[in-house]
Amino acid sequence: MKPAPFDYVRATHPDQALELLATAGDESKLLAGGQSLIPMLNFRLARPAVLIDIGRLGELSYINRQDGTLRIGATTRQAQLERSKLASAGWPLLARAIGWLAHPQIRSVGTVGGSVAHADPAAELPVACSVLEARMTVASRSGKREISADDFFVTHLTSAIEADEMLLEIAIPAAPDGAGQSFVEYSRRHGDFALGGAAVVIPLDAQGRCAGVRITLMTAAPVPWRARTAEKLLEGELPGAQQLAAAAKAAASEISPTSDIHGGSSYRKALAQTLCFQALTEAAAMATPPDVTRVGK
Amino acid sequence: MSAHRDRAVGRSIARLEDPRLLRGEGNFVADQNPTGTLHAHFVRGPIAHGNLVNVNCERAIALPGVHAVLTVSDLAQIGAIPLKVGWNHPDQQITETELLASDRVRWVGQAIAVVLADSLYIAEDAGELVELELEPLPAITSASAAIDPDATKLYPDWPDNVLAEYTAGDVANPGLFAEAAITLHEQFSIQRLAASPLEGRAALAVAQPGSDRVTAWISTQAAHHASEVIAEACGWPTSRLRVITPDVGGGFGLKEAVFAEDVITCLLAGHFGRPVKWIEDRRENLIGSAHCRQCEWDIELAADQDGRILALRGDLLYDMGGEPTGVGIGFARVAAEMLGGPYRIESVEVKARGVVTNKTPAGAYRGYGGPEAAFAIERLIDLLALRLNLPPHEVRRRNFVQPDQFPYSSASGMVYDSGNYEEALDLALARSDFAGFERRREEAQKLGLLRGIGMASFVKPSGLTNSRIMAGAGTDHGNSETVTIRMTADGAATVLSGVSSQGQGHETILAQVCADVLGLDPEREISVLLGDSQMTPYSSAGAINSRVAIIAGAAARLAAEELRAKLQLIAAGFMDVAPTAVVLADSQAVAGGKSVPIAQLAKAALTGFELPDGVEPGLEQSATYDPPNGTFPYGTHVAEIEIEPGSGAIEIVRYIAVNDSGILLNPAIVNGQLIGAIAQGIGGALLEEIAYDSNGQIQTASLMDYLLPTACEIPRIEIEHLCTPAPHIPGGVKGVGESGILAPAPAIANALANALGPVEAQNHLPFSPPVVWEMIRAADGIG
Ligand SMILES: Cc1cc2nc3c(=O)[nH]c(=O)nc-3n(C[C@H](O)[C@H](O)[C@H](O)COP(=O)(O)OP(=O)(O)OC[C@H]3O[C@@H](n4cnc5c(N)ncnc54)[C@H](O)[C@@H]3O)c2cc1C
Repeated sequence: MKPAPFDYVRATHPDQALELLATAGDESKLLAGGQSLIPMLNFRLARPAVLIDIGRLGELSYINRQDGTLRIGATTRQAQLERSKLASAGWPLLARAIGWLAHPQIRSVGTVGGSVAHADPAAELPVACSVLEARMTVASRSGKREISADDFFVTHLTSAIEADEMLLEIAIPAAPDGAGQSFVEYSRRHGDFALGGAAVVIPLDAQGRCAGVRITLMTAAPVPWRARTAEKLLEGELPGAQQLAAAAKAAASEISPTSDIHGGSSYRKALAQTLCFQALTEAAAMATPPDVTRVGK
Repeated sequence: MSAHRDRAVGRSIARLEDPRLLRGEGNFVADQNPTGTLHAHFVRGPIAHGNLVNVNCERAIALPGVHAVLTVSDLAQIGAIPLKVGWNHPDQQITETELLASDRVRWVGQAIAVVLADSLYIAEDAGELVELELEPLPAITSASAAIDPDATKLYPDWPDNVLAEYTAGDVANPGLFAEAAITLHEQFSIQRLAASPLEGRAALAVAQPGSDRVTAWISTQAAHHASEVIAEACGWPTSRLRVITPDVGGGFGLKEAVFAEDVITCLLAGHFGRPVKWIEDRRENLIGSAHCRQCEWDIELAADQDGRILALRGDLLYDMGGEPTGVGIGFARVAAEMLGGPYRIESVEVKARGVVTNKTPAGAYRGYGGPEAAFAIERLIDLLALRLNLPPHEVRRRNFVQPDQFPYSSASGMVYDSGNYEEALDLALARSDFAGFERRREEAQKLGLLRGIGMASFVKPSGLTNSRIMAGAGTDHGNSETVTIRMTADGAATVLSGVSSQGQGHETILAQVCADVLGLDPEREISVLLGDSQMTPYSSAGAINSRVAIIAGAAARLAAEELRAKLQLIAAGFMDVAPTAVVLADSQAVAGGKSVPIAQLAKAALTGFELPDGVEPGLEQSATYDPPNGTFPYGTHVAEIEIEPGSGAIEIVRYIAVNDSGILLNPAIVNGQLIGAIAQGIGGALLEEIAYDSNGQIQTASLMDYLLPTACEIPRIEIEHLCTPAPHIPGGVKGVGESGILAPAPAIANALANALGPVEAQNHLPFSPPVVWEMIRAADGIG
């Protein structure tokens, strides 16, 4: 399990990385935390001619909030985001999601950007990005562009990032006031990729009715799966057990997950329903109507 | 004298191995890097079954940094011959295996060529350049498919795909089945597992300058046996090869056998005169070493209306993969022989057949047939209890071999030594509050959880048996151990044994045994050297079948007693007392009110200056031990589980293990062995499975897909000991290493049946969440 030969360059600045990408293009691969890429190199499933190491680019390692939006630099370690007070104050779902992601050792090396760019539908951060309607900033030598989560995840292990582009930042808009957030999943062993999972945001209107519920299912489709039919079903409804159960059923009925050795499609579908209901129930319990007096914050 | 030292045996002294292992100062094969080493990489077949038309190595050889690329014909030219199978049965179709595939490949991962290069990176690059021309053949991916009369034959000149067969017991009396009040007829299956030691296989061989000798450090369980088998396949006399086992990171039976890679590493070091190193990686370990356990049972049971089992008969089909490993169909034979478990069953007939399939060869794994048998019989017992509407413990009780029936000869010819099976069961029932379970079930129900409790009893043959009996069974090694103890001038002892340790703490327990006999401090005054085919005494079988504490422990005890006798003689001279009056304790020889330090006696013996008349100089004694019979640890485990119906996830909420391994040398080590074995058993019940697709492609080639349990998946294990000494073994020790692995799977299966009601799938391992989810639906009549 030794990789095929490659050249290695450690980028000293994001611009240099973009410069290298522009010249090496398809032949190159960005290396961030290496927790997905290095195993692929060792299995010789990936054989880039050049590895451009951006893992130590301090310029891309930050977490801040501007105008209510949480901005996360691509090389921020997963563990940093997990522990960020700024993040958990407005987006508690993030730390919940990362708690399921692999093991502490891996989270302290793996980057947020690496996980998002890797675009695995069984991974936690892409699902979190989807349900939180994150916007990804990518750049090439010729400029930057912003991509919505819906457009970013193209298919299994494929994102909208072009060969000469690099992910710079993940921006997460403020969650609606008082919204309940939940992230649940089930995996065979602690830290494994999930057999199923659901991320949910439930905002309520002044009457305590659902207003703009978001549901994303994990491992349900080639991309993080926004269950829009189910979301619509809840619009204007009180989040009672019956309504939530109906929504979970609707969400699961939309998907046809792929079977693999760890679980068949019908099992995964049923599991998705169970987990979706659980996430909806948790989020509903936490949701409060928008606070007109806005204490704190 | 001040406070007396406690006896060492029976105390949980800290393991002598731990300081180096825990500090990362262990010395494993991979840690050694002699200059000029060539790194070996094996090119492995990409398809499950096919004719190997041509192997073209030219492009690989041309790669800079590559020293050689060899196929099986090249090895033959160097003098290598096929590898002998160590345990053969009458009419076994294969008694030796090729070192590399020649004209056919029979499993994904079969080695076809070997590359030697300056680095492993270059070797793997070159491996990709070896061109294989293959004509695919249909792949046989299960034992039942292999015995279909129309199945493609893996070996065209055989009559069918059966490698060998063995019948345990005698012809079961058909009348018993015809007339029995109750008969059961059930199928059981066990999935493929991989032993998965933390350290994969590894070998480093170095040609000794100025001679034709080769020294090899091999990650093996049996240094002497490895030296014999490897040397033979290299075409060398045994004495040309010295095998040393440095620290070994787990074996679990996988490293009991010699593999072609070990042979080739030694052969090429001898041939090229340069060090050759082969370190197996995880992928290679999962596809190219050996798998284990996969088998299918078809069994009939006859019982009277009180639940007394009268007879067992049936078939065991064992999936051997593409060819046998060194132990042949041994584990299938033991599985058939042990189907009767801890029960008195007069009439048994079990035909075990090892059949070849296009999968990785099957090898030994902790338990060696025992877990296969325990799963079938312990499920059968619960099904019988269900039929009779009796509690499962009652049926066990009515059938156990009773304490006054030992030694008990089973219908398949095993002789169980001692114990009280019912006492273990009762203790397990009491500790698990079995009687109070229904209340706990109701509590769980309120939370939407399905709760169940299940038990399994077992008995595990351990420590092999007498060497002559083994010869009769067809093995290539016996079962004796020799231990040598020598003293240094400071009165410290060095214990030498040919067994090797894969983490079991053998150094510690041998030191404890000798410490008590010699009156020494096991932690400071005894050192233990293991596993060197030239420098340590002969070990016939190494660290297999839980035999080290039993057999090497007995030899160490006998050698220490001889050394003690000599020290007593010398001390008697010093103190002018009778030798029998001398006691060795606290590093002193004591008689009456007098004492002499053992160091002083040692100095006298080594210099030869001050010895009593008739006592020869020197202070070194050896003893050899070959047991009259093996030992039979036993016990009962109880598993209590909760099932989450939405996911089918099983949580083991309590796990109680009652175990009798005779006299405990070091209780902490025993508990560690039991917990480790139970963890592996739970892994096999719930998580682990080597999967193949219908083309024979392996789908679990990394630890991302082959799910070993981690600490998070293993509950707290509550252990209770019974300690019935093995009556025929000096020291009374019974096997420990394997006894924990038999009960977990059947106990969990029985708990599942208790939680959900009986469903056919409970007879088929493993119980993954989707399988359990389906079981719930089947129990509810859905789906
Ligand atoms: C044992 C184990 C268990 C794991 N379990 C989980 C799990 O349960 N859930 C989970 O989500 N993940 C899991 N992972 C994967 C882990 O989260 C990775 O850290 C993550 O997927 C990739 O992040 P990285 O920084 O390591 O990226 P790398 O491995 O360095 O790169 C991954 C891919 O992203 C690309 N890339 C990286 N950064 C950028 C960028 N800024 N712009 C464009 N492309 C980029 C790389 O070129 C590469 O293709 C596990 C990993 C291991 C080893």
